[in-house]
Amino acid sequence: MSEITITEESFQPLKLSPEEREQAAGQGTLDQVRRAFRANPFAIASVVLLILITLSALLAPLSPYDPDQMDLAAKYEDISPAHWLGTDNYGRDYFTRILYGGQVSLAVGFFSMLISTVIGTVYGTVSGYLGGRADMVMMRLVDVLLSIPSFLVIVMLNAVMTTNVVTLIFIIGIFSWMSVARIVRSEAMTLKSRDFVLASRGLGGSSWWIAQKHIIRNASSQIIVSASLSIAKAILLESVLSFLGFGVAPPTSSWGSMLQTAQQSLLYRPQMAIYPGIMILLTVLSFNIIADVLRTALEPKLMK
Amino acid sequence: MNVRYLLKRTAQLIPVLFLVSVFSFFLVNIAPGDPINSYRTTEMTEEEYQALREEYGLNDPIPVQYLNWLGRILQGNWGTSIPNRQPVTALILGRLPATLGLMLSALVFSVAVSLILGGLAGVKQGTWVDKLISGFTYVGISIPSFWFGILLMLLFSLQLKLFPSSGMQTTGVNSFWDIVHHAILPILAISIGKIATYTRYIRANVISQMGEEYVVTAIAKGASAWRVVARHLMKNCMLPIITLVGMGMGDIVTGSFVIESVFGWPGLGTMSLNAILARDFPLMMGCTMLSCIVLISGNFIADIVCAQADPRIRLEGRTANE
Repeated sequence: MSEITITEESFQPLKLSPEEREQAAGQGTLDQVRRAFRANPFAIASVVLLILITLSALLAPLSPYDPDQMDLAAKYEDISPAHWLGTDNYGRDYFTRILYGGQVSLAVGFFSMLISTVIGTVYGTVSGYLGGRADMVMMRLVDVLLSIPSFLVIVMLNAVMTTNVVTLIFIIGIFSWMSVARIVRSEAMTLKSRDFVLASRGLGGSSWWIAQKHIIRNASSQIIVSASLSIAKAILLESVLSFLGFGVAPPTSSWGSMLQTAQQSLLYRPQMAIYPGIMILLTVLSFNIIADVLRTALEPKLMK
Repeated sequence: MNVRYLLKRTAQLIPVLFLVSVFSFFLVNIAPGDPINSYRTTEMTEEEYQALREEYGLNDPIPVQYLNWLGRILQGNWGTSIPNRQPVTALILGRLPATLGLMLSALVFSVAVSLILGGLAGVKQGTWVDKLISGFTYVGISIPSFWFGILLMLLFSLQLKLFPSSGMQTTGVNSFWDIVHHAILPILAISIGKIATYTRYIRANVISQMGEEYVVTAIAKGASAWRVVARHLMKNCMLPIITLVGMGMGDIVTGSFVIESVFGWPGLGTMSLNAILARDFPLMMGCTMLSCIVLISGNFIADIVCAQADPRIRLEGRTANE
């Protein structure tokens, strides 16, 4: 058995020569992700598209039109330099409404993802880390929650409460953390018995330290993948709810509620039903593609 | 599969149902607004109004109301709907065939199409066929089904006038084909997301199975590519399909919600929606419990079928349980 001598030197960061440094660069996770995105034109297109959609939604106030100002004299106008996508049944500039609707859809997607990811990560880490009986009880609860017809319950909640964007975000977030919890939990289960975690524990690392430094950090690639999928899901769910009339209350609109109005004017103005749907499709598609590219980029590392 | 495993799994369903019922009951009842008030006509006297409140048990505290409700449910009495004073079970049973027919057709159609697409993409992995199918699956999982339904309606009913745009039957016509004619667009709209999801699973499964020794053996023995796919690969794709279908069972009530409302399909979805809008508590509870039961039993049946089809799961279950 060879002897390992521990000196103060052992605890110093590795000193690399510039050449070694050069070699080590390009091996990190970020580099892998960057390479995967560069290799896939669809992935680049998705990122560019999402940036464009987000920026234009954020810059909506630059539009000369008020999204909710009705002008019945100008209803159902055709596409013109003044109204890029025409006007709707109340004479409101449709392009402006799509931009503002994007704010709502994107905000709901992003913030409910944050809520579900945070809850799911914490819950999954605790459950997987504790293991044993506590884990069993916690995971059974997840099973129960997954057996709830969540869509119906979300609709009921939205019907009994006065909904606005914030309540919508919370309701969607609170009902969609379970799959994240399952993923993180199974990561935590395997990670906690790995040598580096045992080493950390041996060196006096607290549970909190291990959870955040080792488990969550090592599960982060999985968490990121499921986060971008859950944005896609949340945007879809919001659109369905708003389409059914259980989302944001008028005159605030999201892409989903615009489709609800559009369906009523389907005979006169079929275009009105096309644009918001295209926006939902492109946004959700981009998030799904990005999630897939991330997964393939990050998975080889997980297999090791 | 032993009886104990079955019993154990069945016993696990009860707390789930109980929790869901408590949750939705309290949710429904904390809702502001008096359900009777909405249907109070000007002729109704204060006594009649109070009598009605008493009849629906609305004067009791909520936990008492819950226990009464639970007692009735266990005896098979699901209560009466408030606006039209019909038994909830009759209303649900009346609407069930429309939804069940729609969902089951969509399910069969989706599985059939995705077996073909997934098998093709898996066997032709990396070719343009595979890329085309994979591209379609991306769009399929990302497109809001109701918007796809609207597009179908725009194209096939309003422009080409090939299919009716709403309802389930032409008034006065009472034929099976008329219903089929009405159902085609809704079925397509419901199926697109399912086809995309199933196709992805089948493709991945076919690809992973292609490298297995039994496939290599079959090919070495001279079996044609299609024979290998049909006889060997598809059999092994059934497990993920069973699981997915089981997981999707909850949709039988709620998944068609939005499509039913797009196409004005007179099923459970539109009924639950109206019940929620009308604050029809007994009917809301009935629909929630039904979809919960269907969802749970779907998962349950899928588990059992999978265990029956794959001895490994059965054995694993046993070692894990005993």
